[in-house]
Amino acid sequence: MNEETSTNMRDNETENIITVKDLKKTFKIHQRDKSGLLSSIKSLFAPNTIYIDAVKDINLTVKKGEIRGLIGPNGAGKSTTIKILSGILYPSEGIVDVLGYTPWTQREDLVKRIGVVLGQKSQLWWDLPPVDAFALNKKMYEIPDQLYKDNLEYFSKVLKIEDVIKKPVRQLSLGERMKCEFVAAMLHHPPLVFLDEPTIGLDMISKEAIRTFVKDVNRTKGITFIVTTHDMGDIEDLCRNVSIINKGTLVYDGSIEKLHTYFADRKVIELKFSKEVREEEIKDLDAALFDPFTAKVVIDATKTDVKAEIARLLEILPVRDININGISIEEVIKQIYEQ
Amino acid sequence: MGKFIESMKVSFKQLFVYRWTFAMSVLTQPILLIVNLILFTSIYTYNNTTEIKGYTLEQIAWYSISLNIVNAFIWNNVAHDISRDIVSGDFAMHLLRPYPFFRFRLAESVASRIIAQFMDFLPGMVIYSLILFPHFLTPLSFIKYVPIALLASMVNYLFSFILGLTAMSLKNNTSIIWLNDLFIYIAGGAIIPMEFYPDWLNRILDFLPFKYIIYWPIQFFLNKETIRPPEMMLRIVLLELLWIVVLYIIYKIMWKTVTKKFCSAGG
Amino acid sequence: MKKILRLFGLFILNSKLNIAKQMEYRFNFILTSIIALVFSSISPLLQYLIFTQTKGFPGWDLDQIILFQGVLLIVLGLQSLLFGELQWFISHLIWRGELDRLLLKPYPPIGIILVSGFSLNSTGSILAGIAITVYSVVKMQLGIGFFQIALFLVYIAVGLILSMSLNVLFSCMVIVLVRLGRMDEIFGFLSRFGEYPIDIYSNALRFIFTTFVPFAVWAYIPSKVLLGVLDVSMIYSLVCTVLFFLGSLKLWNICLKKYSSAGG
Repeated sequence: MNEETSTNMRDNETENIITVKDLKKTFKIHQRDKSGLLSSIKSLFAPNTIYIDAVKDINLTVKKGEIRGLIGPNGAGKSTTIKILSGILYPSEGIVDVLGYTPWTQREDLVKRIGVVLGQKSQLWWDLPPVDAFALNKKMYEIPDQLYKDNLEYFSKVLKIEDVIKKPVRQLSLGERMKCEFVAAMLHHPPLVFLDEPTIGLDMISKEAIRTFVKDVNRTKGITFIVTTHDMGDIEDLCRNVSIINKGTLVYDGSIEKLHTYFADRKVIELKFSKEVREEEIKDLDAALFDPFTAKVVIDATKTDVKAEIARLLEILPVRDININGISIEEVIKQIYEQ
Repeated sequence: MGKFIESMKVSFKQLFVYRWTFAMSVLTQPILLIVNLILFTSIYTYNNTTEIKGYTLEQIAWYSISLNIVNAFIWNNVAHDISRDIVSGDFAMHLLRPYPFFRFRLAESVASRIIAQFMDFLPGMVIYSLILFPHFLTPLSFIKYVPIALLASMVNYLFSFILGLTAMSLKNNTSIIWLNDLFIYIAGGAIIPMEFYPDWLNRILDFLPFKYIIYWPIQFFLNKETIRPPEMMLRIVLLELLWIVVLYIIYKIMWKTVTKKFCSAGG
Repeated sequence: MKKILRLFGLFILNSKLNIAKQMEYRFNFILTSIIALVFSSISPLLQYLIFTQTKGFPGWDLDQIILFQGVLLIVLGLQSLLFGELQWFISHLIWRGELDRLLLKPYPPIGIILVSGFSLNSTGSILAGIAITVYSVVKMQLGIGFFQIALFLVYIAVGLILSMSLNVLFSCMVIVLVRLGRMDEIFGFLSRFGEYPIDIYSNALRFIFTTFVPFAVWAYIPSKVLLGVLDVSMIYSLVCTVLFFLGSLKLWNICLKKYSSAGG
């Protein structure tokens, strides 16, 4: 990031908190063809090296105050990207600016100003109450006494965990534990927080509480969030913008609304029948879902006339109820992944 | 027999998964031998002697390594497995199975020890011998060592089994593993040759089973002067048999009380 | 410098938490402490036994060798007090793939690793070591002045720097190899060289243990200081330990760089 552009960015009304340009990351992998003892000895001397482009060419900006969803199928390069953004991993090529720092060279300065919640990993101590882990983070991030007290009070009140934080972690439910992880990651008041599958394994009520908390904090404190998740509920509830990564490249970068229009010309027609329908009767409809009393049909409005198609359906089938919808966000994302 | 072969197959597969660990142990143990060799060469040279407490330099350098050789016969994981099962409550599952628990675990141990002959003993012997050739070893001495070690493994199996069962009242499984190590390593003479212990301590330890698990097999393996007379071998064999009987009786009594307690406690 | 002070503060807090954790399982704690004492006495005991039943070691009489064992117990005890949990800590981080978590903290990762090893189990060894050392000093009527005590403490600290370096090397191996096997045993075996007075070794080894791998700073030099025998090679060992530590840190940085460009 050169001097000029960074000043320009600060002049903007809503400044970019993250800028990624032409990011590439290539992994070197020693591959073993077979799992036998012999081949493992062989691979020791003549390793079979292959190169994998985990991230090919990613350009991305995130504005201050956003909640940005970062999604993609497993192995798409999401976590590699997150790791590079948080300073854990060196990229092979490209320019990255996070809060004005280059993550991998200024890691220590950067991580003081970011928070990270990993849904699958914990930074709490299993045998001790969460407050002890919080105290450790206070020391680690040198959080001033007053700020620590205020933040702890605020977070535990919002998350309703005032009593929970004094019990040993092993006695807590998964939802309570996750709330405590959020507190631990945010006590030092970072302007940018990464959430990696923050609701994984949680029940609906805990999910709801976590999402409400994220939205609240985002609104009242202006904290920027980057969320990676496989739960479309998280995305729809939290994010205004999503970036979709697949096979190491950015395949979509924009608002959720626009994502909805991405396949706006496809309609989903749900049919309920008044009597049993045999499969042969509707085989030319190419139903996505079928059982004797219901069917789901996707039609492409650019190719078929929707009106005529519906009329035809009503005519040939014993339809009791019909529902016409746009394609769901989950369906859209699935389509994008499969492209 | 079928079950036995089955459990052996599983053990083999598991070992294969851990072949890296295996490779590491083949590489680490020689380091211990080299360290010992250097240490004791210095001590023997300074003392200008070829023998300390009946050990030649070769024998004393091999002492710690011998533990591995002996372990290839006697080692088992029974104390750990049983205590873990009891603490976790999985013990009830075993009681439901249609074959005796005692024999099931024994078959498992035997299988793992047969594998250990190929994975630990043979490669170990080759590598150790390249570093410091065991001139003390003769075919006859090795033939004498085998029955002693086999009986020792039975004593150890019984002892570990009983120790595992004590989890019922101790309610904790890590401390049992430590106790096992403590008994075997200190009271069994696995680390320090027991000739260096004070006499009174040796006299007490003579009345406990641990010497017969580790110390005597090591003595036979090292082919020490003291065990060469035939009556000595006979004595050790008889004492090992005696311990097997005593421990078996203790096992029977404990098994009865433990299973009763376990069933009435409801698992 | 400020960073080191902050790391020290972190160490204090970490240690408090470790104590609190151990107190959750009190019976286990008591038992482990006893067993730790037994196991850490093995090496001193063996040497004492060898010593009393042979001509002993060159340049040492019985009282002196007892003093040596006292110092050795203190050193081994302090090592496990400060770094006892360290190998477990780093191995677990790697097994669970959580090394990344360290990189998210605003410190050098090796700093955090080095301050996370506190374990109370070895208190017994330290107390026993102090008792034996004081007893020997009084019995031999050694004239111990302020200078001796200061120098003794300096070398105990230098010894801990050496232990720290070995732990750094251990961590290097762990992040490079990932699969651990029995690495901890190799380090344990090699450390045994430091548990004997270096006079027993051949000239070449003695040279190595005072310079390249300065095991002499563990128990040998501190005992010599208490016995009032000073020589110039002590300074070499001190310098070499510091260089050894810096070298191990350098290697760690290379390994970490490799890790963070290879990715986990």
